[in-house]
Amino acid sequence: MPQNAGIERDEMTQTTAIDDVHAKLVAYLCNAMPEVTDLLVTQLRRLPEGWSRECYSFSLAFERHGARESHELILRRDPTGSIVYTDRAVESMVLRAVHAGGMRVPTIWFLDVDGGPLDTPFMIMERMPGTSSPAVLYADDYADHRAVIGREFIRQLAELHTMDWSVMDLPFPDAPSVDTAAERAVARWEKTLQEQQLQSHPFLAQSLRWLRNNLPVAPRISLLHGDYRTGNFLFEGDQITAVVDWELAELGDPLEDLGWVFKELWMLGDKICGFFERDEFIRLYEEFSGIHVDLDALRFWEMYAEFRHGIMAVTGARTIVDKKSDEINFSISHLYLAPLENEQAKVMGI
Amino acid sequence: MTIRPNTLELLEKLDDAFRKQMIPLLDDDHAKARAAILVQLIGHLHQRVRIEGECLWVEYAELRELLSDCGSVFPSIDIAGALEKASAVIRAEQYPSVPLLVDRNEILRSCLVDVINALDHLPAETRGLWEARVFVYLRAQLDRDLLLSTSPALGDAAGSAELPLV
Repeated sequence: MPQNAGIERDEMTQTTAIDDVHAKLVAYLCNAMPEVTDLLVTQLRRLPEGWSRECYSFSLAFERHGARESHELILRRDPTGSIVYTDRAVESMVLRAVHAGGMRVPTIWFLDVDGGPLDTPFMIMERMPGTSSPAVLYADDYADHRAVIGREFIRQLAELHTMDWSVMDLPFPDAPSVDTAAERAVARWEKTLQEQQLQSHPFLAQSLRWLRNNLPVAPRISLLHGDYRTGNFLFEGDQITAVVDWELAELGDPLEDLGWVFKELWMLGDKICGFFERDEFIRLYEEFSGIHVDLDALRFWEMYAEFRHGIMAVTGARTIVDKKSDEINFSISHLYLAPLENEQAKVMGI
Repeated sequence: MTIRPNTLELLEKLDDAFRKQMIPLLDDDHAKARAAILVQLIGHLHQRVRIEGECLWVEYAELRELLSDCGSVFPSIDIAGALEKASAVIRAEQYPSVPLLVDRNEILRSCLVDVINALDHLPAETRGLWEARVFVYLRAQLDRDLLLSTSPALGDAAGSAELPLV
């Protein structure tokens, strides 16, 4: 045990896998914060959230300059296999940039992209107050709060899309143009499909054909969240306390984010992400952002969202077959493919 | 001889034990969420055992019919070669196991991808016709895939993982 670590962690009832994470986390933190003493990591818990990254919450306590400090933190660790492969260095740069731009996001404490101390790349960040649970948000008795949160959800997306990304410190040196944004987005996921597929996918080939034949011109180029939806923001009462999971952020057509928001999977009845009906959602987004939503372009990005999600399902299947992860989630990722293709079928008239 | 309990009966027992005896004892959120996924997986396996072979059999017949019909329309694609290769995967005297059926269909699925990618090279007056033929197959196959992806509720508890995929 490192010299500046405390004696014992709290009593835990979980498996040796989490004991291993605990030991490595303590060793890492002791090394990363040599100025502190009596460092204790307690309440380390694997969170149920997170398909693409392993998420843990924990309490960190230590003594610094004669004073006792206590912090609630989140560890986000890359699994060896996933449904989507992203870069922790990119995600952390985006988080820092949007934080500087005024968005409510967690502060990053530590970033390790080499993966030595905890076996795979990871980030340690501030645990923000609130919950991300769709079950809480979608509950009948939460309807009043949901209406307020919904407006804020749209306003924050509009704020992100109208940020001047050209002056931000972002890891995207090669921005697309309004003419190439859609083509580039499709090409990226086509490449992923070719790399990840275990068998031929005639349906996805037809989807690709449709997407290539219907590429829209973007109204502008914006910084995108990439996975903006229910479950990826924290809320408390009627307030959004943080927007999380920025690993898919990129530059592109702002309607790309909107297409993802409008996915059938996050809907509650006929309400987008449980908030507003389609027309009202679009009206509020246009009002907050000043960006016109072309309905044909939105249809393209909704189709693209279902296609992209389908590629993630294909990637999860490969992760299981190639034994890249012991995460049981990926064993059912292929079950999402047919329902996602069914959404694409509606757009294509199949 | 038929081994009893059969595979479906064993999966039903596994599902029942999981739901009634193991999941109620879990108090960790992560463990509960993963157990819900295991239950979904058992339901999916039940469905696979029941209908996968039949689905693959019908898929092959439909693919073969579609590709046979469009053989002369796409001269740059070796459709005849794919059909012949697929026929050779399972010999007449051989038991057509699920892995062999999958291998056979994959040859034709790959060929259909080439056909789909070539649709836009057809003259406009015939493109619609062949697109419609391909769409009929894609719809039928998607319906089979939807059926295979369904996790029937085997027991008396809800089996949703309650986690979106991302």
